[in-house]
Amino acid sequence: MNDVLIEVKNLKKYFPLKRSISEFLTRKEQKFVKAVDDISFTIKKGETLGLVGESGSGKTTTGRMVLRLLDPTSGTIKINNVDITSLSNEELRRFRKKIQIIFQDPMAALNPYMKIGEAIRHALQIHKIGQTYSEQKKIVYEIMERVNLKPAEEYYNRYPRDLSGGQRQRVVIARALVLKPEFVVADEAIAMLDVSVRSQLLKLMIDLKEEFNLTYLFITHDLATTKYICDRIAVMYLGKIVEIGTFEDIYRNPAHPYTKALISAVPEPDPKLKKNKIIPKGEVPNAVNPPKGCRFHPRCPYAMDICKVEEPKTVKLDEQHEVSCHLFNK
Amino acid sequence: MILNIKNLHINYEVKNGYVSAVQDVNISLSENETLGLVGESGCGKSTLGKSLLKILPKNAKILGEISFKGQNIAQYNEKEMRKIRGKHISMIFQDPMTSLNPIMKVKDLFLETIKAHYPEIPEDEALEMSGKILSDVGIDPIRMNEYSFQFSGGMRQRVMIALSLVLKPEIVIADEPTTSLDVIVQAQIMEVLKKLKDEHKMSMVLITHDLGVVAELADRIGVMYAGHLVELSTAEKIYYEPKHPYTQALLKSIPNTNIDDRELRYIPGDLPNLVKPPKGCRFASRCPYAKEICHEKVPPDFEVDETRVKCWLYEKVKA
Repeated sequence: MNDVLIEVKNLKKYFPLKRSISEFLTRKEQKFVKAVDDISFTIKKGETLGLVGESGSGKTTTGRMVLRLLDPTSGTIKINNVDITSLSNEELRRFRKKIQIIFQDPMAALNPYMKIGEAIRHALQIHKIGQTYSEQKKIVYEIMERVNLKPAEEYYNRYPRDLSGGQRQRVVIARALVLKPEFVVADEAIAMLDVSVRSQLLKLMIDLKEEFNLTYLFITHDLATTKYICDRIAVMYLGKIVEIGTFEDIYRNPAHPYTKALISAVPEPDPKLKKNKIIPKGEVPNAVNPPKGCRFHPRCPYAMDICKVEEPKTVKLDEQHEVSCHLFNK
Repeated sequence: MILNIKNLHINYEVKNGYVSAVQDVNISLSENETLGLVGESGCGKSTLGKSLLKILPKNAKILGEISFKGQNIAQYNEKEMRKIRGKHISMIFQDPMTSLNPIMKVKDLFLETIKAHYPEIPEDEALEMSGKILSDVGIDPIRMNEYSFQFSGGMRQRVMIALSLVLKPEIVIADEPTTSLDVIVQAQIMEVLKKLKDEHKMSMVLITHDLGVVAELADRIGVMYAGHLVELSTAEKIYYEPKHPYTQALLKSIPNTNIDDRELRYIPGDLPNLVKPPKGCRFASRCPYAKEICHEKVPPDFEVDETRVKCWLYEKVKA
């Protein structure tokens, strides 16, 4: 177990709902949005774990908790065997150097009044890397060249509004990597970009992973992009991991009916390809009152009686392939 | 032919000149036909779609001809356009949350639309019409009494579709109708559109950045790049025999679910600046086959076995 970098155990995040005064006075029960409800997974050093799911599945909440941008309700998150849920703010700040995030929307992640070079240098200032201004600037130039913002001297003084969406996302990547982190959470990092640019950025992220020995948690709603970058994939639905496995397990032998639905819903550009789509009815239900038993049962084409009452146990199908579904419970 | 667009140019006036968003587009739409317009951000597909209803921002200038059933609506004024919108040509927008008035009940949205064009229709009849179209898109008519924010994202988009179809328009323009939705809901909405398109016998312009979405629905596909319509053909020809280097590159960069194909392909470079667009072909700077002439002169449209392609590579074929 030496090479495990991230170990998440029984992680939960319940967001309390606002109560009105009358609800408060009549002592109505406090309700919660169960955004993440008891999930566990590990990520090995140098591995990329994909976290896939639709909106409301809890994938972003999970990503934020792993960096402790959000405090979990319960559960533990160990990075290099250090439980970060119990770190003090000062300890956490030092720890953050090693763990970084790439956000979805670079326009929102970058300060519009800050030159992009300065935005990257800012990270160095905070973590006190580099003694002098010119030394820091040199480090910034290096990383900018690496993410293809060339010539760096010229790009250094530009503002985010002067850049295209793809270039902006390169800035965000450069800012995350200038600190030489070990672990990076990419939260829908390429979702807002156009197809032709999307693959450029994906390629960059894969190359950088090799160079910097990175470990990624790659959060996405788009199953099709995971095959290029992920070693393993976890599929989330309504706060639970319903299936986890190597990308081959997920693509070749998807077990959970939800995973199958996700794969079959990917639109294919081949007009002759009339896929036999299994499209579940309805939409993701409310996480305040998730369905009893298996959370997917109201939409599942294979739902049985037991699915409505009992939560499925996690079953091991293969060495790394696990699924939570009654179809596989014996 | 229900719609015929000739030499359409659309420019946005900005501080230091103008943005040439659409340049010299010629395209037509037949009855019952679904035309897909595909391209990445900034290619002019939405501008083109909105110009058909003349709902572009004030700084947009439309030049050329948009003839709807023989009438050049490019010259219509606001009052004349209001008679066309909703009744003859209607639009399904990308984000139903911002396009449906949140303080009106769904039934009032329908009543408003119907009354604007047919004030003589009594309310109970109008409600019956609305209920019928709502059940067509898979919504229980009883939900008419709710507000749009009480619906989920997918259901809201269904309301939007029902609203745009209630007056049985001849043409529906769907501008990224599924982009803000999750994959599974997206597939559901595509099913609804497919069904309605056949039942209502309407023409549709489907605007999207996703070739996968358009392939399921469109008869013909037009590919746009930086304001140019670079290729136009049937859906099958676009996929199996793409002619334009941009179409070829775009198709290759789409991620598919084929597990054995894990090679990442992309188009190097960025979109050109449309305030100072390149003199020649707008794709030339990113094109692997670019020749001298490509940087000098905008290519005309060449016909190559039933595909129309705007690329100098096909010059000889014509001669």
